[in-house]
Amino acid sequence: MKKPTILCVDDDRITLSFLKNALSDNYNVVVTNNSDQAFELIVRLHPDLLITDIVMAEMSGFELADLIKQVKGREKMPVIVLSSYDEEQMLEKFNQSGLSLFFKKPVTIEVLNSGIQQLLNTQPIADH
Amino acid sequence: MSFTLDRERIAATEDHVFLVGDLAHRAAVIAFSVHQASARSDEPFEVVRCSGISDAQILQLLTGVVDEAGNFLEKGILSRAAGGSVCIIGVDEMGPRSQALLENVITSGQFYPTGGQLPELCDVRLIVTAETNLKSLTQAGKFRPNLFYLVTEQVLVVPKINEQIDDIQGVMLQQLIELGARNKYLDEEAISLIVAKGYLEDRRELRNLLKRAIARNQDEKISFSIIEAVMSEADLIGIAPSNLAKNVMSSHESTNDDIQRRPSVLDMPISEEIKLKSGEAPPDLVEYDRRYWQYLMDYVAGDKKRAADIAGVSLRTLYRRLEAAGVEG
Repeated sequence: MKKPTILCVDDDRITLSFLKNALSDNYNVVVTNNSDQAFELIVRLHPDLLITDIVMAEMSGFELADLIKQVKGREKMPVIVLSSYDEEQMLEKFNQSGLSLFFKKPVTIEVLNSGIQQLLNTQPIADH
Repeated sequence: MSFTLDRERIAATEDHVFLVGDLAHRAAVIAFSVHQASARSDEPFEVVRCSGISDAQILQLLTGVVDEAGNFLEKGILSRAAGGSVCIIGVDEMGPRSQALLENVITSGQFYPTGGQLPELCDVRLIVTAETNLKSLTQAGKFRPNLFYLVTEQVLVVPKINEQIDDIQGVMLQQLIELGARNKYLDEEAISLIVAKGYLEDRRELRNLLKRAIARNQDEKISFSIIEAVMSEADLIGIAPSNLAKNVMSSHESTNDDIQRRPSVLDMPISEEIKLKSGEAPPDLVEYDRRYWQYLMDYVAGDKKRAADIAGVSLRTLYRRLEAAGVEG
């Protein structure tokens, strides 16, 4: 069975490295530290899920998520937001959408995997 | 003419568009903004990047693959984008076969899928970019002349983000919404100041600036004076974008002029207090340190910013050192 593809975008290379190492056994993981480039990758690669930071030098994670929703065929792509910030209003908005999850950094791999499974509706993943 | 107006007028045509200018990582985002502003906005939008893959791979990506019966095993970008727009990043990287395909798509509105004998109809708008000078490439015989004229029907020059004045208000609004300040807005002078000071080049800086401005402002309007005051604070602690840029330059590319302009501890007259007298037993380092910081603060008459500049440390470090030395700031 083909592994789902997850695109991770964060301007913190340590977070990207963590995500790549933690998720690569079960998913095809594509990483970028540039949110403009992330948009291109989403349209080109059709990832099954996006994991994004909020505060980045280019588009914010929220802007990126909003932009994706305007691309025909990508409207329902699930988004997990990882952030060091507590953005309660945005957190509400994201949770209300039913498609996305918001995790405050630092997040454990167990919590992240659980969120990914919930959004992808996949079978339980073996523990690392 | 503004970029946004240019973009909207070009988007309103049905012409193919050639993007030039500040496109680093942004080609797809800009192309999508053209697509959104066009009559095709409800139709699909696809992207292909031509660098790093062979001519045959580009061809297959664009046309898709069919079986012997002509059924698609995998749809290509031209099929998936039917009725919409295709952004081709690096059209100059296309080989002769994919160039011929593209020319055929534009002139005849059809293509042959890989492995197929029957043509597929195709209606897409192309929005393309090139890394090299496409005209020179054409003159050198490496790019089809007819295709060159077809993909450059319209040329959209993309300015740097901080020069896209019309889009800047949208950027500010988005940031304010994200910060939970939907009811607030910036006046035009405040926006101009933010642009002039380079805050748009890094959204993280902009976000922090707006956060500080929101915290200090009770009114709906965030005025020029609020932004100016907040910027002064940022400048004081050395975190304004211009200072960050200066810091980067000073650590990597300092010139003699820079060094000479920067106030230095060497500019201070030697105080009797800190000068070691001949024959005097030198004080221990802690005591010498205390004397130095005390003298420095006296010398600058309590101006910590100046003291930090002279000592060559950040303001935060200055506070720490003063506290450690037991010197009142």
